[in-house]
Amino acid sequence: MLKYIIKRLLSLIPVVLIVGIIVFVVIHLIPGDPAQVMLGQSATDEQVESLRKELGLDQPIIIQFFTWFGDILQGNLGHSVFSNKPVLDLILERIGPTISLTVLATTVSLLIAIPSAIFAVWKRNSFLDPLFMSGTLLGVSIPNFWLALLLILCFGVTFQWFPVAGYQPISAGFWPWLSHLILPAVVLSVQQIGIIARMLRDGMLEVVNQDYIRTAKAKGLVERIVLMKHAFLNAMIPTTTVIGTSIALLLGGAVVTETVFAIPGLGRLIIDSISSRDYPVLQGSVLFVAGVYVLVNLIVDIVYAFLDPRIRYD
Amino acid sequence: MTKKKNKSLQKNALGIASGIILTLIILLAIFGPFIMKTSPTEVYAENRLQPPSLEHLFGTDHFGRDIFNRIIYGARISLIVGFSAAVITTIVGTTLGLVAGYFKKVDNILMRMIDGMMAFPAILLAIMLVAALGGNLQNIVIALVFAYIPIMVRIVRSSTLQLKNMQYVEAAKASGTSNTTILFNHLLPNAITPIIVQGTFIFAEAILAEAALSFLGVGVQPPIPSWGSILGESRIYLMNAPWYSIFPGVAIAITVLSLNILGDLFRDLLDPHSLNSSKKKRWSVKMTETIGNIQMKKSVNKGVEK
Repeated sequence: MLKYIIKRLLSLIPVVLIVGIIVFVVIHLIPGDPAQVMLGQSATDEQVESLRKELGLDQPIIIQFFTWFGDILQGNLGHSVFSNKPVLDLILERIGPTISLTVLATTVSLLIAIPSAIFAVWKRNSFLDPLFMSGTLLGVSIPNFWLALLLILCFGVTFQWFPVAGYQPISAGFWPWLSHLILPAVVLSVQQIGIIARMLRDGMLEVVNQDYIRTAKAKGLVERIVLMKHAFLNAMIPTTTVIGTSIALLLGGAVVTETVFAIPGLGRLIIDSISSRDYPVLQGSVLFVAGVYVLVNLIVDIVYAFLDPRIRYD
Repeated sequence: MTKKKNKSLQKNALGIASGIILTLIILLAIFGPFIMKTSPTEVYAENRLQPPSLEHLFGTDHFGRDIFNRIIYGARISLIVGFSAAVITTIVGTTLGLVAGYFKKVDNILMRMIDGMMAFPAILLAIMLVAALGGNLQNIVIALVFAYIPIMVRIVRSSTLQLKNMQYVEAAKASGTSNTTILFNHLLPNAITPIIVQGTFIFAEAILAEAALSFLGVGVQPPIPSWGSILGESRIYLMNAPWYSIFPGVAIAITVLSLNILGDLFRDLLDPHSLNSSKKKRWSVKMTETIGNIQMKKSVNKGVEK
């Protein structure tokens, strides 16, 4: 197991390097002088020159990359061009809403996906199965920002059950926190439900045809116990990896959802930094998301190896 | 047996329906603009925010423009962007995947790069690229290609790894066939099913992603109509003119759903083992691959690299 973890950790090195190179190259693709672009047309030559110095733009490109990358590995993501705050502080200020949203969305998806997948397998020869399949496909086909608009229209405007914009931290009370996040969490979870439910159903159906399930049935176990104890638990193992990676993926989906619901989270920070041309913030927050993604993947891999010994003896 | 037959019939019927709907949407996108009497960008202030009526089937927007008309024009943009992204991703991704699977040296370098690209959620990579390059159609396509190419490369690579140890490939090698011929004449045709299926799914995903980019204001810019940019503009009128937001979304959802159903059907039709459990397995593989999971990587490594 330790050998597996070390192997897995070592494989992170090239990935981290490539991630850094990608973000660095993309930001340098921006046409024109970044300093000029950031300051706008009204800036004087001296201002541009001093910003260039500050950002290290007068250095050769390779040196720029390694200075920048070295800083990042030490946790220094640079400073915002506008507020002059450290980018990491800005990210940490915005991370709370995004974490709340992600956790809530995952909870909602699991609460819906797991029972419906089990139900679909239980009633697999009835009309419910095609219905279930169409449902999962619909889940991955609906644009989430459109669904957000529909939900705002329905529950925010017509029924006025929930607020349609903004965020309250959980310290302000449970209901204010939940009521602001319930619609965005539903929006974010729809795609996850589609993916997780289908994955789980397919996994269970595969197990259902195995010999040991037939044996379990032959020895007189009730269908319910066969499904829950044998099929479900086995199908859950591969599904954990999907749940893990989808948590990381939700961080990306949050960009759209947070914008629609005006939630001051990490996704909004990314969009705001684009419209205000605050490139250090853009760079930093995208790197942060990629970092979380890589980290979650790592944890999921280790958990998976722990749950399924076949992986670590490879 | 009859049940299975019923099921596949049901599925085919659904697939045929999706095919018909998709054809209709494409035909509308191609010929619709010739039939429309009004321009999709001209302002008719007196018709501002009219609800749906016989004259304006889907109502009008804040400039008095006919929404049905704009959705038809928007279909052109959305479909062209999605289709170009899917085709380029498929061609480039297939080539890279074949090369990576076949030549071990290239494999190491290329796959590390792919791993790095997969560390970004696809939509985020696309947003960042479009923000850097600027939001014209060409750049949106480029951004989407970068966002979706890792999945394609991985899928083609894993098929190639499985196929390259087959006896017919060894025979071809022994008889002195060139590497290019082996790659494109022997390996490619046998790996074509997952490529077509994945290409269809990428088409669907690219339409969604373009819509999201344009909705966020980093993609197609107004007044050019794309499904996403229409939705983006409609947002502030949500309370006064709900029809403005509803119809473009229906267009996206129907198109993407049809493509996803078709992708599913292609797999069934093209895959000779489609009626047994391997089909289900493939589906999960697609799902996991789509969200950049490591799971498949593992099963492939297990199966192949031993």
